[in-house]
Amino acid sequence: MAYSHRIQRTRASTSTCRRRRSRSPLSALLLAGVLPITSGCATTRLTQFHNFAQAGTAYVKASQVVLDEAGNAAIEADSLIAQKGRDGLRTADERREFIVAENQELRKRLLLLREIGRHGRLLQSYFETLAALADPTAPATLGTAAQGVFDSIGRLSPAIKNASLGGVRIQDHIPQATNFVVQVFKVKTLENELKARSKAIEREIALQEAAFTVISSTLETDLTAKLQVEETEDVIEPFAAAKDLPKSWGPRREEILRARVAASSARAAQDATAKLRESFVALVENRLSEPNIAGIITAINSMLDLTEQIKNATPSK
Amino acid sequence: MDSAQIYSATLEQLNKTVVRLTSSEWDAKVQGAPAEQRREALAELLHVQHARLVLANAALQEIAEALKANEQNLVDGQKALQGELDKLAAVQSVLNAISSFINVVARIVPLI
Repeated sequence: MAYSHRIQRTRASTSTCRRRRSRSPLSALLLAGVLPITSGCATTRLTQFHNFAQAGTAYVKASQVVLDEAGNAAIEADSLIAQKGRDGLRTADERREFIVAENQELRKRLLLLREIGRHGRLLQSYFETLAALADPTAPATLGTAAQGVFDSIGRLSPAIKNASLGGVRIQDHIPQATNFVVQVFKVKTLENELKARSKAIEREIALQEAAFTVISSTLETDLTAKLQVEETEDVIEPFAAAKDLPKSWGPRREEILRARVAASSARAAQDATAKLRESFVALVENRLSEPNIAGIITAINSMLDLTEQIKNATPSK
Repeated sequence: MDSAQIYSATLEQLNKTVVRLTSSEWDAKVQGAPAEQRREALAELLHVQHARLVLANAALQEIAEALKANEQNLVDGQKALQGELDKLAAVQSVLNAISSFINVVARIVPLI
C-alpha cells in the first residue's frame, strides 16, 4: 500500500516524565521541544535523548533502504545494459571477460555500500548508548560501552572517507565542522561522554552526509539509465509495434514515468543526514526541540517515498 | 584543473554518455543504422558502462598523475563527445567520438 511505510511521529517518543504519563506519545514529543529543557528535569532530558535515539534509529533503517536501492539500481542498470549490449561483443571470450569484469566492479561498489550501512548502524548503537547514559540510574560501565562503539566507528570511517563513488571522493564532500559547546548535564557520565566524543561523533555523522551526497548522484544516473532502457523496451517498442498492447502496458507506463520523476529527487537521504547532524548538535547543546525531530522525520519520510516509488517501478518478474 | 576536477568531469561525461546511449532517441537512431554500426553501437554502450564503473571505483590518489598527464586529451574528448551527443546526428560520428574518449580513459584506468 502506497505510503504505508511512512514513519509516524507518534511512534517517535516515549516519555518517562511521571507528571506527563497520561499524555499521548505525540504530546510527549511535542512537549520535549516546546518546554525549555533544563538539566534540572532528568525525565525531560531522558525524553530528549530517547527521542533523538529513536530518530537516529528511524534514520538508519531508512538509509539502509536507500543503500539497498543504490546497490539494486547499480546492478539492475548494469544488467539491463549488459543484456542490451551483449550482441555487440563478437566472441564468447569477449562476453565472458566483460561480465566477469563488471561483476568485480559491482562487488567493490556493494562492499562500500555495506560499509556505509555498518557505519550507520554503529552510529545508531552509539545514540542508543547515549540515551541509556542519560538515565541517572545508568551503570558506570555504559561509558566503556560508548567508548567501544566509538572505536568501532573510528575503525570503519577511513575506508569510507578515502573511497570514491560516481566520480567523487567521499572525503571531499564532508561538510565543515560545526562549532558547539557541550552543556552541563547532571549525569556526569553523560556529560563526560559528550565532552570526550561528541565532536568526533558530529564528524562521523558528517561522513554519512558526505557518503549520501555521493550515493545520491550515482543512484540518479543508475536509475535514469535503467528506467530509460525499461521505457524503450516496455513502453515505446510495444506501442510502436503493429500488435495489440498488453493490458499491463498502461500501468507499466505510469510506473516508469513516476519513477523517472522520483529518480530526480534522489537527494532526500542527504537532507535527512544533514538534519540528523543538526539535531545531534542541538541535543549536545541541550536545545533539541520538536521541530528538530519533526524535521528529521519529514526528511526520512521523503527518503522512504523515493524508495517506494523506485520499488513500484521494478516489475515483479 | 586539479586531478579531482578532471576525475569528476570525466566521470560526469561517462554518466551523461550512458544516459544518452540508453535513451529512446538513440535507440531509434541505432535501429535505423546498418548492421555493423548497430553492433558497434552496442559494443560502445558496454565500453562506456564498463569505463564508468571502473573509474567510479578507482582511488583518485592512484590515478591522479595519469589524469593530469592526459588532461588536454580528456578535455578535448569530452567537448567533442558532448557535441556529438547533443546533436545526435550521424550514428558513426557519435560512435567515433565515444571510441576516442574511451581510448583516453583507458590510459588512466585499465579497461577490457
